[in-house]
Amino acid sequence: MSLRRSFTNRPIASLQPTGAMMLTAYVVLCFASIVSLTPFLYILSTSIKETNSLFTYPPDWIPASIYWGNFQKLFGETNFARWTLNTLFIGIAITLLKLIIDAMAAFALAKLEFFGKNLISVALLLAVAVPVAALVVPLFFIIRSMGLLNSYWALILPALTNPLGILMLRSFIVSLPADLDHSARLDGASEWQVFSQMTLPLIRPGLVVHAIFTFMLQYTSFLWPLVAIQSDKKQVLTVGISSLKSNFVVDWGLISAASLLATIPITLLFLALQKYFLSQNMSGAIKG
Amino acid sequence: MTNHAIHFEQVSKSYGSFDVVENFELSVQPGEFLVLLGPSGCGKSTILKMVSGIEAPSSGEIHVNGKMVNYTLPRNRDVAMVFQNYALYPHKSVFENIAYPLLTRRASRPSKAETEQRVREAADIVEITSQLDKYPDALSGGQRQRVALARAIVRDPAVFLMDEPLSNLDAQLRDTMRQQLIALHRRLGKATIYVTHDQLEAMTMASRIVVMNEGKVQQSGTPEEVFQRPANLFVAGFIGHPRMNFLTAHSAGGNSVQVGKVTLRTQADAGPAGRPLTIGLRPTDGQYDRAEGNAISGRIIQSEFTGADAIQTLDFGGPSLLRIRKQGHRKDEIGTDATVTFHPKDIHLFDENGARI
Repeated sequence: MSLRRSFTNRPIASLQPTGAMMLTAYVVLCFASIVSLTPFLYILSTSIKETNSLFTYPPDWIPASIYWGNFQKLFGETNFARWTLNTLFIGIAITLLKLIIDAMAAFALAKLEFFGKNLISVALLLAVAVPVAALVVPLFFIIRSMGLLNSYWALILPALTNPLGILMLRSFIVSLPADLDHSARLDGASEWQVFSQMTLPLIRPGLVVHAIFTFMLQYTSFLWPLVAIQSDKKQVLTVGISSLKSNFVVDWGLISAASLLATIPITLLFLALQKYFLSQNMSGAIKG
Repeated sequence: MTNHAIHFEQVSKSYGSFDVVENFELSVQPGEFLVLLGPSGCGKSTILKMVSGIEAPSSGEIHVNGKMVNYTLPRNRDVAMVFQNYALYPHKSVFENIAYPLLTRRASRPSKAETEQRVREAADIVEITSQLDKYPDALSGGQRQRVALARAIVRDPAVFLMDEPLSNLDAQLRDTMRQQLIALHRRLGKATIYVTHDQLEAMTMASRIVVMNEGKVQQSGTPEEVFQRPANLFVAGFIGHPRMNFLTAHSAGGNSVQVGKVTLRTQADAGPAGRPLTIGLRPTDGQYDRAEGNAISGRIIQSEFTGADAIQTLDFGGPSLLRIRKQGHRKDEIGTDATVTFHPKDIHLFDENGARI
């Protein structure tokens, strides 16, 4: 009885946030939102104004009348639509190829025993440490000697060699309970079935993260396309948009319109895939 | 050799210089329920993994149904295994989990209707037909265990391997599942190797127990044999609850031994007088209030109430204390004197090396 009393009288440390904590959180979040949204809103505002009305003071955030000329010029006088298609095509191609290659490589490194396995793992880890900028010059000579400069392959092939995805997926696969594959093998599964029917479905959150990461990286890459692609028709968005700057006059309205449109695909991708970020519930497999 | 379900020939397994299993020899008959019993780390699970093909033996041969399987892939060994942690496929429904072994081999894949029928049969045997549409994470521990069993049953394998399948269940459920596993085995009649460290599971379920320690077989026999005639000190101490009392003693010549100041008559010949021995007395073999037999008198210094009976600790002035089970329980007995008698056949003798005499 005395035990029960001491339990009920004990003040319970509450996990419920207090009013002050909530207020602080909201203030911090509001500040962060303003900091990250302001440039975006400024681009939005600039894209629907005539460039020569840009430098009025105080800045005119919401123009009296919406000016569509920047968008018309973008699609009429530049290769913007082509750059967008190029970027999406290359981004999707790289993402799909990388998912296939990296998942298989990660499975081999995580689950199979073969000669030189540790050496390969270490080599991959070292390769991660090499900065992209250091690779541009040797990569240029390699791609040129392959005769692939100024082609889509010049953008696709080097991106496939990024080892980060293999290492990330490997850690996902390693964390799967080994008894699942043992059980599958005893149930008659071939090594390919273990990979495709057990491993792949269970690392889906990892695959989604990897896909988004790869696509984003490709979507925003600038330095290598600038070096590898000379034809304006094969160019990607990042380099294309920066080429809108001519030598003497910068058409900020045009650039803003292009930048604004360029954010749309990546935003849609995020919205579509965000539910997969929630990790899959593994609790049914193994009793912990 | 062909009529053994499983046959081990000089099987050893070592990791580096550490021997997990040494020269393991065993034959399992068709329909036999063989329990490998031993403390954790004794190599019993490793033996199971070698039969299933998850691990390869370092030397020796393993035969399943008369065929040497050392180099056979797990999928072609005709063995089904129930894992300690169930190893259910979390992204598949219960139905898909049970059906999985039927669908992996394209050549022998049954029709949809037959798959459905066989899954339902297996689910029916373990009574989870109502759960077929659920996913593993929606099931309780006991239900998951049943799904794992059904997945093993559905293939109709030659041999069942079970690796501590009940150890993750609570005590009450373990009781029920134990009885159901016995019934299941009786119904299917398949050779089964069941690994456990729980002597109660081993005693109640096994048609034969193999007691293992440190990678070696200590004793192989029916539950009665290993309980009544333990081959050595390890088996004697491992099997039986409460644990057997071990007292250092020496032979008093012929059929009698000297423990402290007490002389006991034994059934076995204790050898020449003065020979050092260890005697084992099961707490459950001691009888209070009986005139004849080997009497040991002492003072009750502790009494642990366990429900139907009590475990009393007796100080009889010997080399160590003696624990005796007594039916009924009275706290006020502590500090009083008592006399316990043992039948000569209940006095187990072990020589200096720990082997039974």
